[in-house]
Amino acid sequence: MKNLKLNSIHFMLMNYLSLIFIVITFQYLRDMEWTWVFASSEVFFIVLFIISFYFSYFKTGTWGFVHRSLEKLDERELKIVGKTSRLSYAIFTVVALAIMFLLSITEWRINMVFTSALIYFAHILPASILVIKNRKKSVE
Amino acid sequence: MKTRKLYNRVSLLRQEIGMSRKELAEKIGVNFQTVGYLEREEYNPSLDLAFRISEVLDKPVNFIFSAEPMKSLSDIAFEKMKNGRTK
Repeated sequence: MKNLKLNSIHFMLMNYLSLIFIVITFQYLRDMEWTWVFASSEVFFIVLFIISFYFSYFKTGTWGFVHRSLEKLDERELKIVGKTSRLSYAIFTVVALAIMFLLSITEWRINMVFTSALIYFAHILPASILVIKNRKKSVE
Repeated sequence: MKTRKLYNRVSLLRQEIGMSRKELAEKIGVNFQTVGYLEREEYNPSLDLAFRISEVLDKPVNFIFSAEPMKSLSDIAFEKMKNGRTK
């Protein structure tokens, strides 16, 4: 059981890393010439991203838990969802401000993949917090 | 606001009537895990939920829940027996 919980955190980290690499690789692909090495590595990171998403959020039930309709949650679950949403909102605000600051002092350009990654990050953050918090306690 | 810990006899009373956690959860309208949290005294129920539990277990709310650690039923029975002897 303990190994399973550790694995969900490992998969969560893998999911974030693959997301970062998808953004970086896409940036290279856009700025430089399309090469098979970059294109295949982009495909590899997308596959890794999907697999890690399945094992970290879908299989553990955290994705379903944070996306269940409020009518289907009981009072304890509503409290958990409220707390994680509040915390994830605070984290996302700090991260978004840091990114905006970095963009303003560097010459980086935002592309659609980067924007999508940021939206995904905002959307997945409550489930990530649950994965981290439920190392000892199970959710589903 | 930091809430204080509430003690309860949910687990004992549930087992006494031979009800599973899942059955109790269905009757009071919560996830079965919430019953587990309640029984381990890791979660304080709302007043509404406390009344629903009281209705299902057929015992008054103040018998099921307390703000102070609860005496076991065997201790209460033993005390009653002792008091009966002294009278």
